[in-house]
Amino acid sequence: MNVDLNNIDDMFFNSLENIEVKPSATVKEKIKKRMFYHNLMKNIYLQIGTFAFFTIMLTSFIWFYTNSSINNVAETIDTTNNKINNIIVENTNKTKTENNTKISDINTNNKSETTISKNNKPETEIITEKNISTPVIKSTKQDKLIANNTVLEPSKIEQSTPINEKQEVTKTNIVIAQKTVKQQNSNYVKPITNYSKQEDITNNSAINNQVILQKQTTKQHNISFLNYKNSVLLSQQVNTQTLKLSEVQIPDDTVGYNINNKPIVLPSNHWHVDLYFSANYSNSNFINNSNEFASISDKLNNETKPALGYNIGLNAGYKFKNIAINFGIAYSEFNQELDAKYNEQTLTNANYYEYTTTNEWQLDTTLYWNLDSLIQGDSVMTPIIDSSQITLVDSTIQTRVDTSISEKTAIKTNKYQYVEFPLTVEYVFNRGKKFSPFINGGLITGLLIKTSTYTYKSNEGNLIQDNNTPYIKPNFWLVFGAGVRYNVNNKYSLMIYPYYRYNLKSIIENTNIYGQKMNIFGINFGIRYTF
Amino acid sequence: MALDIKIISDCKRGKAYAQEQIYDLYSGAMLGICMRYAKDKSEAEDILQEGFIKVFTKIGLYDFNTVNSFSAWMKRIIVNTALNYIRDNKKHNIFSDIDEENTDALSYEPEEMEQKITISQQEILQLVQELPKGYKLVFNLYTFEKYSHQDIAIELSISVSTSKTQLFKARKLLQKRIKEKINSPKKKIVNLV
Repeated sequence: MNVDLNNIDDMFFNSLENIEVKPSATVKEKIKKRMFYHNLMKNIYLQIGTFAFFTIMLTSFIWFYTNSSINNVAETIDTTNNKINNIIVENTNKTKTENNTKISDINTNNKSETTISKNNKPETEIITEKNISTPVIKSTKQDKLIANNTVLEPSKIEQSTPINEKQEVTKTNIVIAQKTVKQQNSNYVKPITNYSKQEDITNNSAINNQVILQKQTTKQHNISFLNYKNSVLLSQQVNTQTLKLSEVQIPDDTVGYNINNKPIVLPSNHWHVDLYFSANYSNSNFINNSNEFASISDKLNNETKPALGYNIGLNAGYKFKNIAINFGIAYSEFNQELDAKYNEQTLTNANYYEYTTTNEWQLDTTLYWNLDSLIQGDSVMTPIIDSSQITLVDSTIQTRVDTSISEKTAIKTNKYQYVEFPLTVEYVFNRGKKFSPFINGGLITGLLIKTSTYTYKSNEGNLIQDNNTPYIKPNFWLVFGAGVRYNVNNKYSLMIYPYYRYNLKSIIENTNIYGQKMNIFGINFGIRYTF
Repeated sequence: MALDIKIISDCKRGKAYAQEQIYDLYSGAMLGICMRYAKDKSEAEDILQEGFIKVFTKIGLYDFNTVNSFSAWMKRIIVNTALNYIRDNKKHNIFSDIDEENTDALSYEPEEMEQKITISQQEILQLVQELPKGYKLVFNLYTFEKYSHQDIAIELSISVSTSKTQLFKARKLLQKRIKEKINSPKKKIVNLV
């Protein structure tokens, strides 16, 4: 190599610019090994992260649920309508006073204060102190007997409970609503329909947050709403044989007072879970990534048809008054069909003879005697050469190959399988009614787990799997829709929910000659369970 | 060197075969770059290994729409890895580790060397490798990566004047060492042949 020392930079650059040195084999192995551990750790971190996420969500859920259950006293209260619906007292039996427990004694004593309705409707009996018969609940925590917001010591009760033997009072048929019902929100009247137990109030040690119906006489029932500290929020005596709690007037926000005489405000929040299934149609919009191939995306737009897909998912949600925030996980499958036109080349073979003709001279020789003129009698045999031109015909068989191009149609199907994580906000109208319309919107994050592209050529009947399209794994959709929910009871509701999903970014990498946005229309069918 | 876009896309998805193909295609050239920054092949292979790990883990950031080709993008990563490697392994300021012998090179007079000599690529590479680290970094960035002194100053956190000085000294030292090679008995014999 010639070196000019006056231009040392160029000398080194020219010499070493494209230098290549073969690395030893161990380097490749080390890189492979490190990449293996890198991917392994990445997966482990991902799984730990996922596990942590769900653990946090579950813990939060349990925490919220545990805490929110404390103030469930007003779950049976409808402050919107000031009604409690659908509770019917069934088949109460008369009993004699002497069969009763101490509770009946206190009832006759009639000393306790009561919290009564603020809203008085004409058809409802107004509760006054005179006609209130006070139920008494034994508190397992405090070991005290409490009548409304008056705390009575057991000893005092026994001493001051004259028994009226002539009064018909029932103790054995107390209907206790099944657990608390914290449906919808604080202003919602929770229908209590699924009470099932009939227990003697004296034998029931866990009647917090429940509605107690107590039959006093044949046509009289006493209704009490209890809070978590066993104070009575509202007592009302109703003179009907078959009692509907919807006829009971209840206050607005403050439904009663606890044993410390503090007002109790209706709870407003609750958790729920949704299980849903939806049928969907995904409509693709193909985008040019290069003007050079604009015709391809136009063609795809014209020829692609949506096909039926589905998704199934599970959502958890938390509701604040009319607004609920939902999140969850879903599996979705989107399908498309494409009538792909393609040109097919057809080869036709034909055999034919090719003739070749050649002209040749044919020699004809004839011997004859030639007399020598110099010597008499001498003669020599001399050949005479004549020629004539003949034509030889030869043939060779040839094969002619012809091609023809014809346009064919192939059916191409694309299948996209996603795991999705929706995060949506829901606003409910007409809450507390049998039918509750709602609107819903939010963001769905999808993770592509598999794509399958099949091309079916009708004339050949073959199925080709094509996995060359560079799809992007994560993607995002905006979702919005409106639906209606049918509240079956306080726990379950059914939902139908048409929605539209707008794809925020192409599902194909921009290295491809075209991009693809997949917008989806679907109808959701679901069931909600409210805690 | 050409690389199918599909290979890069598959490499982005973490597919091993794509990583292997990229390595096979570029490892020679990239090790050549590493050799210029390292003191020997062993150190260069360490840099190469780190560099490829970075390439494979950061390939998701490579944008097909950028002006730079994939090889240029990869070269940039390898160079940065080499710079970091030298920084991480420095025991003291790499820009003040020049001994007296090296500074003597400043007295070299280039007009004496206006002659045509023959020197192999391997020897030239060795000359670069034997440069003090500070000289080597500046010389490499300026000569091969075509960095300006301003860019070098930013990259190495030094002043522009330091960069210029280092480059000047590097050139002088290289000239001196080339002269020594020429004057060595072995080289003279080679030249005579």
